[in-house]
Amino acid sequence: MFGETARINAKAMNKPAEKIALFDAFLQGELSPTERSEFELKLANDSNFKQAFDEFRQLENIIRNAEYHAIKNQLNEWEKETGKSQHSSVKIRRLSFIITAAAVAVLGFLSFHFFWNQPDDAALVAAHFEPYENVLTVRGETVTLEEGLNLYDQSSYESAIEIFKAFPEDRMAKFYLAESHMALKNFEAAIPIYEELATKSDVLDEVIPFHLALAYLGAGNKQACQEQLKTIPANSFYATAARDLLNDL
Amino acid sequence: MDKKATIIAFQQQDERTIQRFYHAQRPKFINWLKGRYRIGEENDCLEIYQRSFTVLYLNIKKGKLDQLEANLETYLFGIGKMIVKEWWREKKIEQQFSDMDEKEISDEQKEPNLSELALFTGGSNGSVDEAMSAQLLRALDELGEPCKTILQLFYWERNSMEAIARKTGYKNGKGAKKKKYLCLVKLRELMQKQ
Repeated sequence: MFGETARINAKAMNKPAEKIALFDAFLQGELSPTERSEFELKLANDSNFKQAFDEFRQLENIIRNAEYHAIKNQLNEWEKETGKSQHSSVKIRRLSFIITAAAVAVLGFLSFHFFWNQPDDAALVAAHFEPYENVLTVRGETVTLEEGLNLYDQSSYESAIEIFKAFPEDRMAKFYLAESHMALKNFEAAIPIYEELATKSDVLDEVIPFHLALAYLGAGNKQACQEQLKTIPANSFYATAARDLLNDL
Repeated sequence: MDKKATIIAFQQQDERTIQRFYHAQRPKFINWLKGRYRIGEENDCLEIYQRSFTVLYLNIKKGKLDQLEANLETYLFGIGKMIVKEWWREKKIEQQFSDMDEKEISDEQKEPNLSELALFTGGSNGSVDEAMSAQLLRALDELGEPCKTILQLFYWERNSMEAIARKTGYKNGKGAKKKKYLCLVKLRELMQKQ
């Protein structure tokens, strides 16, 4: 039964391995036409053979699909590492702070009045603030605030502000209005907007408290900033950044 | 890092780059799920992100994105839309999804393979539940080397037996193949034991 190919594959192997070699040769298209016909005939007439073949295919299927779960396990490991890596995170953030502070120092030579009131705090705000991504505009979709958001995406914050102001009842418009003010270092303008937004709970729950703290700091109110940072829960996406900033203050 | 370099890094399994890309996209993706699809539970968002990232990773590995014109982020979000759809199906509230959108998915974003997404849902032929995969991964660990590497190279990395022989020190593809069969026998035994 079965010809040369299967016998070669099966040489010096035990019975179960011989069977697997045969199944594999069939699935990989390595059997001769005659061997293939013999195989298919046996598959049709021998229920034990068919069961063994189905089990082998199932085993291969399990191995292939386990890759997805192996990757997912790896991603979960990274999630855990992120939670544990506060020290390395602090290092990276401090480095970014040093770079920003150095840039501020250079600017100081060029413009004596730049940041001179609160050089450290201003540098900290610059190091920690990044305008929140536009999560509303999706290509091909009509969004009410699209024009303003497009300007926001292009960092044309002054023009974006004019459009956002036209939607005083829209929570998202208010949020991006505050973000635009922050990007322009209009901290005093951003604070009341964030404070109002912070009274309601929604998808912006995590970013608003942190950016409000930065706005306080930018405006020179270090104490309000510290108090605000302490309200950020440990499970917030901004928890590590808040902790770092508190240490820096 | 540009798109081409990132794709090459993924294909070479440069863990540092893959990890950096994973963490870089995560907050934006999760905020997008929260803002656009009103998925409020952080764990649900993370699950959808990880499924999307996994499909992206595997498609890059298989070379499906070698000619990709869009950037990787756009592609990832395109996968995300499909995964959200599958996720809603799991939750049996598909109607709510179709009310929300789907109409704007471009051809480019439709590229992700739905049969791969279905691996996560348990709803298609050949799908395997998570417990079975976990059992297999434990058995692979117990199997040890060189079996673990041989099977991973063959089934996960799609290497030829000749390439596996080169990487694992076997004289030729035939020798590596025989070892693969013996490994499969042992693996099956370990699976049955568990």
